[in-house]
Amino acid sequence: MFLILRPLRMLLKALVIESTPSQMSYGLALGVMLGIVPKGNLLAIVLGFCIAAMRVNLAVTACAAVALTFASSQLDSSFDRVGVFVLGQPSLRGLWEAVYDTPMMPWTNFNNSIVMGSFLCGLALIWPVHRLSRPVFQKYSEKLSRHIRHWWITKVLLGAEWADRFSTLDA
Amino acid sequence: MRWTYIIPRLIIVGLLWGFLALGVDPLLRYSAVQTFQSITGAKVDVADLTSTYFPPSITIHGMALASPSHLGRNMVEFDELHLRFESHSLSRRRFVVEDGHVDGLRFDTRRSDDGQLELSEETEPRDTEPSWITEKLTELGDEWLSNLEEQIKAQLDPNTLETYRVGTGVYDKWDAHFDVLVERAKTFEPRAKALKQNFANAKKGDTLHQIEQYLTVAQEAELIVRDAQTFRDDLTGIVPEVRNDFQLLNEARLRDQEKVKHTLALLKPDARRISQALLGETMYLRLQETLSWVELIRDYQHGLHDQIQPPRGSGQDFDFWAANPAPGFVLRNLRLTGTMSINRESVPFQALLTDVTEDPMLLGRPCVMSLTADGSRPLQMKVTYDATTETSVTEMLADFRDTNTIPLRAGKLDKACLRAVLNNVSWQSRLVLVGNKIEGRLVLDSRLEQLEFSANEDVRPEIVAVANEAFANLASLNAIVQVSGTLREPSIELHSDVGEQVASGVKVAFTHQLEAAKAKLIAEVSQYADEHIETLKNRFAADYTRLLQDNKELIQQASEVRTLMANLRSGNLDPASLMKQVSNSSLIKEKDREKIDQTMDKVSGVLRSAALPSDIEKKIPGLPGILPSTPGSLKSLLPRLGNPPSQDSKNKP
Repeated sequence: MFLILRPLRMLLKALVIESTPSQMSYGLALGVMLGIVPKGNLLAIVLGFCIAAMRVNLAVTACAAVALTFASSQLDSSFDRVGVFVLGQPSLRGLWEAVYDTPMMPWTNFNNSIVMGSFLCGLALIWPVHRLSRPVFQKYSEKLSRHIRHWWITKVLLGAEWADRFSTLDA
Repeated sequence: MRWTYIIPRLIIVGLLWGFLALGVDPLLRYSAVQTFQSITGAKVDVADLTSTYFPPSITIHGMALASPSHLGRNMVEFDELHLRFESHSLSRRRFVVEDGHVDGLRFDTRRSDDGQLELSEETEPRDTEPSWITEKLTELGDEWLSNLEEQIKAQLDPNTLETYRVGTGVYDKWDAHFDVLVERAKTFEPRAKALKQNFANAKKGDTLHQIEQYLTVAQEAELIVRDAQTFRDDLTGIVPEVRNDFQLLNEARLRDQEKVKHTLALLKPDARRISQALLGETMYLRLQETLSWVELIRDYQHGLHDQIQPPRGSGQDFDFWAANPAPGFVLRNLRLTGTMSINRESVPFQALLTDVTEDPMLLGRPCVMSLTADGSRPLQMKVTYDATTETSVTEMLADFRDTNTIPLRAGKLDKACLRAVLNNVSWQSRLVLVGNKIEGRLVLDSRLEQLEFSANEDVRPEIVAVANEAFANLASLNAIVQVSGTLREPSIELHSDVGEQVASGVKVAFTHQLEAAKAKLIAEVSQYADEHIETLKNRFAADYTRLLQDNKELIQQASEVRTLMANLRSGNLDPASLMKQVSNSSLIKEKDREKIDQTMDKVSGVLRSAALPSDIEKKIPGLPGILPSTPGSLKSLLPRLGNPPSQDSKNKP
């Protein structure tokens, strides 16, 4: 039982507990990027891996990615215009051809205007989203932690040890 | 802190690995089922699908594609499909099958369910045979014998011969004419009887009265003789007319002969129709099968292209392939083994499919399919589909042998029917399809056996016998189907020497029969005409002879009376000569003639001796001895008997 609960407890801790406001804001920014990029291509998978490899709050990232996945369809026309502009640049054609001829790169589907547009927009939104969301996370992270601590599942998984630790943090 | 970082990442990696290890194959299996179901419109079953990444390959076991048109049947089924992809191309999102094989490939197999995705409405079973052209060829085949039968019947119909028409006309004409003649002849009979009666009556009474009666009878006899002469003249006068009519009849006979000969020359069965009737359906089915292969090979590109292209989402895909252009899908080498149905016989086959791609122009090589089938129907086929240029060119070469017998039939069994059996059949086809235009030919070479012509009772048995005799020499059958036009509406021309041979045989049979029929008809016509002529002649001769016989005596008597009366009218006949002429004629009977002769002898004796007979002299007293020949006496009044009368006395009344 311990062997089962311990990994889950550590996972929950990693996801929602032990995060700084910056990690949460970066997680949100990267989640936005991951969310607006169309799925089903290697780019989304690589992005997911990269984001998962970063020390960001994956819970916030996942929530943002899921939310933006449904919302991004409303922005496809904008992404398309951006992608067409970038991919249509004659000066960049050589670059794109070289990239396309690179192994595995065609699987990223970067030559699609929406994929390229959304990816570029996602990249462009990382810093603004981080900057804008960080103060919010700073303000509400403690409240969020406290709120989460009261979940029954959190109590079960983290146990008394972790409860005491949370109490210490609060103090 | 370290574990809190590592564990989530490990979990994500583990999930990804789990997906790749366990989830990809079911996903690919699901994708394959969905993809093929969208293509075929029927259920697709995949028993198992496994994939490997190094080297990239995919293996499908137990795949069955249900037929959308045949319930409970699989369109195609195979045991295993293995495709090995080229890694280099796959990393560039190109599916290049370096090598692959399909084992246990079978077509049109049974399945446990109906195989339909949804049964919203009953679909009518599709007619597997090409309907319109088969029916057309069959109709053509049925026509030739029917037309020939009608021609034969028309030729054998006596009513169409001029001889019959003229002969019938001549007969009717002379039949009526002789009826009139007979009626005329019959009118002589009562007149002759009356004349005879008058002769009999004329014998009664004294001599002067008889003479008067004879004069009357002679006049009547003269009328009869004159009428008889007129009748005889009329009878003799019709002879030239009869000869003229007979000449017309003969000319009609000659024209009929020429007509029959001319018709015989035209009366030849259409060899093309015979070939089509005999081979059309078989050849067309084979051709249709060949065209289906060609069409299948040619049309694969459209379906392949549609499947290779991923479903386009929103946005625009930029083509950056210019640096190293290559097709998105290439099947370089795929070996197929299994069984296929040839003429409803399952035979094993091996096939090799190379250079299948959705973009042949980019690949620059044509697609080639080579197929070899074993069994009793060995087949070698090679289909080349070259779409490397703007206009695609499909070429098909096939060599097919069939050691089994193939029955052939032309015509309808209840009428005239031609049946045969083909053995050691060899098919060779070469078809070239440029765009939608097709050109090529299908050659059939076989041994012909049991060619038999049968017919119902409308056709004379002699015709059937002669036709079969002519067909007995046919041992081989060669046929060529020339195909041109478009793939959808091909123009098919069937050429075969068997059609010509059968046509010649049929012609020989029917010609022989027609010659016999012609001779028979001519003989019948001649006999018919001769019988009528003979009948007319006999009728005329009989009536004429009977009339002559019946009135021979009468006419003779009338002639004699006429002669006698002519002498009397001339006045140069003395009583003795008159009596002698009467006595010598047949006007009186023998007994009467003797009496007359005796009387005339006595008279002559008295006149010569100038004395009365002794018995009379005794009865007359005072007159003894011989009376002197004094002037004014009876003796002097009588002419000198025994001496020729003088010229003066002849002139005296």
